[in-house]
Amino acid sequence: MNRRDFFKKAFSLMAVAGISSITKSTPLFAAEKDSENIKTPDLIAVKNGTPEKMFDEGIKAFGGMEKFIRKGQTVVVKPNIAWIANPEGAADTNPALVKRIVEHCFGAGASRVYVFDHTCDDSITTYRVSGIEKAAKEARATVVQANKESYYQEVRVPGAHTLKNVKVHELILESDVFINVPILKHHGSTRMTCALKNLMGVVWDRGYYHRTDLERCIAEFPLYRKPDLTIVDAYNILTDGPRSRSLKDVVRKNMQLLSKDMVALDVASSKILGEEVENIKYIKIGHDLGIGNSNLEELNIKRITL
Amino acid sequence: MIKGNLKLLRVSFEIILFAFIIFSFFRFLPEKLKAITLKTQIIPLLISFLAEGFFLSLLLFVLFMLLTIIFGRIYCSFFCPLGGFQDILIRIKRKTKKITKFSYHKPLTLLKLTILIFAIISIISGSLYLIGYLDPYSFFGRIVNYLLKPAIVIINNSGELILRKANIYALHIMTLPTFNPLALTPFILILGTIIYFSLKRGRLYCNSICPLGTILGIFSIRSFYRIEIDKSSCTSCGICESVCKAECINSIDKTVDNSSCIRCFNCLNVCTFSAIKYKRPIKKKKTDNKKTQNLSRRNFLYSFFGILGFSGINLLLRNKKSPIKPYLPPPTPPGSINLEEYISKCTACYLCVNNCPTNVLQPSLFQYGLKGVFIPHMDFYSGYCSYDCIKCLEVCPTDAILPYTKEEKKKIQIGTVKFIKDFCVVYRNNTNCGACAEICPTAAVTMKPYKGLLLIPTTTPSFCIGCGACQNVCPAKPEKAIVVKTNIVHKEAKKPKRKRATQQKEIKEDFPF
Repeated sequence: MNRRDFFKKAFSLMAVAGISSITKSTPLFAAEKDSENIKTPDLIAVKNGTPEKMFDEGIKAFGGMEKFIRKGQTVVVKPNIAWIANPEGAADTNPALVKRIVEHCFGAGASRVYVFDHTCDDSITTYRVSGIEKAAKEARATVVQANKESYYQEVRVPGAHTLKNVKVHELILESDVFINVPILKHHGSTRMTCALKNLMGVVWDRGYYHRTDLERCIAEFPLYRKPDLTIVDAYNILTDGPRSRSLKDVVRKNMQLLSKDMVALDVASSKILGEEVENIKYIKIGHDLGIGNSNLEELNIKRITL
Repeated sequence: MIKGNLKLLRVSFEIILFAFIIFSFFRFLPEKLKAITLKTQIIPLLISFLAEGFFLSLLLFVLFMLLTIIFGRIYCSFFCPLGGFQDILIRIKRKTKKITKFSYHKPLTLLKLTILIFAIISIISGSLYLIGYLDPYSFFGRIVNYLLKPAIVIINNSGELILRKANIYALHIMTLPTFNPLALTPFILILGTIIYFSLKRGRLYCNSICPLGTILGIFSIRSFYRIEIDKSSCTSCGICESVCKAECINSIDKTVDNSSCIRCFNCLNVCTFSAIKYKRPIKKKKTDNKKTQNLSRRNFLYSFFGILGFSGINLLLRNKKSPIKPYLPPPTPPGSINLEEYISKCTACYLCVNNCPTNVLQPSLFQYGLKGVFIPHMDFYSGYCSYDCIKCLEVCPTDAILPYTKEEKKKIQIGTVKFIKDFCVVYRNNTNCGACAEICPTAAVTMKPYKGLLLIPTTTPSFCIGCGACQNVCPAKPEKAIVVKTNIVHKEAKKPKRKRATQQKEIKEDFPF
């Protein structure tokens, strides 16, 4: 724990130093960047491409996966693999996107890349039918189960009011870099599942969430750990979810969002989904807790059209 | 006479089929292959034919009977997994002890016939339970469920833990089967008998208790091919008798009791003088054959009273069952049509229990009453029936769970949803939940506006298939706020009308932010 914290701090300090050196750097350095924003964007939105292509472009705009992963680090990629559904059903994250993310992680020098989700349906079948197990393995990722309590360890959530303690998958505790890859969907009770809601898949007792103020628990979890990067898959979105019951509910939006700020991502995603931000309670709670910023006007958004 | 190394043929066949039957209880094989593997088991074929009139089952059953008439009880040594289990025990004993000698014993005709008649009477009175419980395949299934599976789970899970410590995630954690002391008692008693018999007296279980062994024995008394001793070249050295697991060779009289002989062919290879052979017998004087059928008058009377006694018990059970039950039993698996049919066909082999990916199928105790004791039931506290899964329908060897297709299964309503608002988290705590609606595969449970931003479940029971997902995930404590009410007779669920697609596909819109 201590060592990891040290590395994280050291790394973020280095990143800050790097950014500040760029901002005050010579015109020659800035001229190399064709974009008008010299600062790294807060949120990157990409559209009109395949999930892989959109990710390639999106992560490039961030300065590559190297900005997030240093050589030899372990990475955990957490897609949404909740339901037994084909990729067309849009209930689970696009497998091709997961594969491309894993490839970028290894490209940046990651020593190991883990992929898992605490599924709602039978785990082994869901991993197989979603296509994610196969895709991730093709990119040499280690696919890990999360369907038994012994994978989880109890942690304290600092500053939480409702979710004081939570059992978290051991890989979230152990891995150096945490990448969250939700798929944007309508959700029957929280109205939308995206960046923040996707993190319910790293905890054991979801019944506790449901029993004890669902939205507040969702918003409080990142007080324990925030993903280092969140990639929202809005290529195909499900307008009557979270479970895929009919292909008629799937709409192709051809979009992808990347950011470190899950609250900002959820606000932007709610607009793609066409859901009122005020109706999604966890966004406001997350903003108030300082998990992220829900005022998109205050953010530096880079929009890329392919 | 049949030439070649028959023992080698028997042993290889037995090992391969035995392995396939064991694999059928685990994830290794595709379900279709499992179903084919289990088409080799006579009692399940018989039940499938008697109850469902399936022509294929009849055909295979007749085929097995013909094989028995031609070759004798080859089922017992080639096909029977419980026989394989006993052969392993006998082999272990032979390896550990220097000498294991079997010796001739008179057949236990009285006991054999009594048990068989009990079983037949119970079939006639409409219950396949006794023959199902004593069916060697089904009993072997219980051995897998209660002995082999726990052993494999423990080894697998400790291996998984060690590998995980080394960051290797190659194994999956498996779930231990549930144990109930009451269900285990008769199982352990019979298992103890089998183990004791096989270590002391070889295949005595097959020649005393097993009703299938008795039936096949009757058919093989005069099978076309029999084990015969050539009296002129036999020296009565007794070596064949000492290796005979069925204890049916009398080396002094130089006779073989072909109704007890399980056709293991161990005797053929040991005879120095080639005096013992598997061949078509030469016509002999009638007196010789008469000896094997010793159903005396006393036996007949004994059996007769046995039948009377059993019918009495059966009638009593019937009368007990008839009044309407004060509670609803748990639902039966989709494809079992109704409770009555399911109970009458299931032999509690637990193949479905071991193949169920969500562990919703669990051995019951008295949930289905005395007649359905131990057979699997749907337990929505331990799991729920996966919408896309038809594993139990595909594997069930007795067709107690009929092999409907996936699309048909998705419409079978084994129960209907019942929402109890007073227990619901939304009503009690005024916080959102929706766990039931999110997991519902059929839109039988959806959320409707309640107070402010709150949403509360609402149900349409006619859409419900009774999969129990909502009951399983409902986080309300101590009582579940949503449960499944059993349909004793399964119905067909209605499909919800779908709204038209919300928007046209493939839209090139701009970012809405």
